[in-house]
Amino acid sequence: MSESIRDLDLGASEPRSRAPPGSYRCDPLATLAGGEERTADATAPDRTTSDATTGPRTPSLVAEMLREYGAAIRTEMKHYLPSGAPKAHLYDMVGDYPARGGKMMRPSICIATARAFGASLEDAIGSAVAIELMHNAILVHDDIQDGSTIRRGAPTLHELHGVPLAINAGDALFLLSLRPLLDNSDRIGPALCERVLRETEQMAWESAEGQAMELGWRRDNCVDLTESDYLLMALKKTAWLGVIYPTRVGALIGMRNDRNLDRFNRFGFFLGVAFQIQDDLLNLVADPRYGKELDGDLFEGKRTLMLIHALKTASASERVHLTELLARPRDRRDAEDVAWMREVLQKCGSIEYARRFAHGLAGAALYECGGIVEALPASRDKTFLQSLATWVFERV
Amino acid sequence: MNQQYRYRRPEPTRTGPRRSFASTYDHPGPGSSAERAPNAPSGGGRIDGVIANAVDLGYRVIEEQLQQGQQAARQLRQGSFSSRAIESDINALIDSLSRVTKGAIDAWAELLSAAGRGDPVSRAGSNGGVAFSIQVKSGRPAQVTLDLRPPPGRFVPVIAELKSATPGGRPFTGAEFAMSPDGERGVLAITVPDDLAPGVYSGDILESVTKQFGGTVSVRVDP
Repeated sequence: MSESIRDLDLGASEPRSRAPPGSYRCDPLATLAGGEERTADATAPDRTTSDATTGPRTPSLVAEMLREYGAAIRTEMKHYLPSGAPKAHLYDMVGDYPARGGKMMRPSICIATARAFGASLEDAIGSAVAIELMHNAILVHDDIQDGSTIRRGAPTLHELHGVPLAINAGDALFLLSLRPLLDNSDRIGPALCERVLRETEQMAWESAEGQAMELGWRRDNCVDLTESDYLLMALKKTAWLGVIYPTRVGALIGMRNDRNLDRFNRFGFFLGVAFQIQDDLLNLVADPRYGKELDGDLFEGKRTLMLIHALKTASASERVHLTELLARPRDRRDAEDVAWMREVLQKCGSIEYARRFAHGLAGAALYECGGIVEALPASRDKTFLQSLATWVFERV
Repeated sequence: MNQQYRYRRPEPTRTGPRRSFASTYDHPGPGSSAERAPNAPSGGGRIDGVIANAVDLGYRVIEEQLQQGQQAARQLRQGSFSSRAIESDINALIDSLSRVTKGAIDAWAELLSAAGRGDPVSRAGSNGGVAFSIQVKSGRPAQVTLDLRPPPGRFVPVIAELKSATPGGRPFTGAEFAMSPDGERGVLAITVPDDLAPGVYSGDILESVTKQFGGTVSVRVDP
């Protein structure tokens, strides 16, 4: 690695940068290799975790606020998790993934956006809980569809209880997520409540379309995908639920109107896809904090940006073999096959390529975020939103 | 000079002109940054080719999606104008016109164009249509909804009384059709008494002679 997280350079020491996209550097994998764990400084929320020799880095505020909002969301979410019968066959499973933790990035983004635009935590907490429940519902189904075995450091729900019960628990989680959105009416009024529900419907459609694209590519063994195909899929599958929806809902609650919401799509798209690429990069790194199966994406034949790049740049014979390996079902790709695939990714420079690609997208996210928050008064929530683009590369 | 050591220009890696966004900032283009010295800085106005390409592609994808979304929204909105939206827009208009404070306010709104039928009221409209205005006198906010459905032939509308939606509530008798002072158009005059209980009052509009159904009118009086 030629760079490390210590070299993170936002191009300016100002909290908000309107510098052109891609004007900073950092190295996600170096962070993991170093195993560095940052400590939050509660007394100086806007201070960056930097020292005299390393320059500015992501403010510790992000980790702090994720903990703070995460705790509030978990407390509120408990009220919505049923505990009655059928306990063993449903409600224990419904509460399993939410109890395993998680970063709470999505709901925290919703709360931070709402608060940055003037709402209270109480106005946004219901929508935030709904987002986290939806996210967990989708994870349950994703794990089944991908054949994943580990989630948040423990066996996936279908590994523990079988596919039929896990599907049912996922359905129940999604239904459960609607409850706080309906309860919103008392807090934010029926008109805004309905508007948030419409946003939810659109997000659900986008996510379903993105998931269909990715699963379809695998089923049909598509090997001629372009980067634009990948960006569109990641926009729908990841960015909508991950960032676009939380920021749009947060802004609706904060502004009490739907003026100029498109800007959140741009910010959310760039940040969400950078997040997804980084997630795929982390999948190639053995780190117990990551909580997922090492090389799981290669075992699954997932069409990551790295794989798409390698399919374009590999030699003819490598491409033929890659195509043949990807055509096999997951259980017929063994560790040796996956090791060879990793080698090809490395040789083609696909990992380094994806890393820089993600940095470019994060730079654009930073730029778009500047346009959104520049007129807002200084606040912890504003700094939190501005810091997400760099935090993406420090998280595990 | 030995031919073996003769200086030669290196073969260019590209085979055509660069026309992509990536060349805008004079960087070497996608994939070539690996050729740079490992510790060469990427600042100084030069943008890494991969990064520029990522951002360029990203903007293309998201702008395309936004355009599609705007187009879909436009089409949906245009479609909805043909049905519910018109009714709600008219109601909103009447609502805003009828929100008055103490004193008389004349609010004029042209509501309907339909085929003229040769009676004093229907002749008043332009192009042979029926033109009505609504005049509201109320000390409190009041909303009037008029659904006019003139029967064939002569149509001189009358309203008997508007029944209260509240069980046992007193009927509202302050609604009547008349001609405007200049005789050009019909007027639905609504006078809300100060002692009228808040609520919704509604009733049928009938043709004055044949008693055929000619529509409905409802008045909502706020506290």
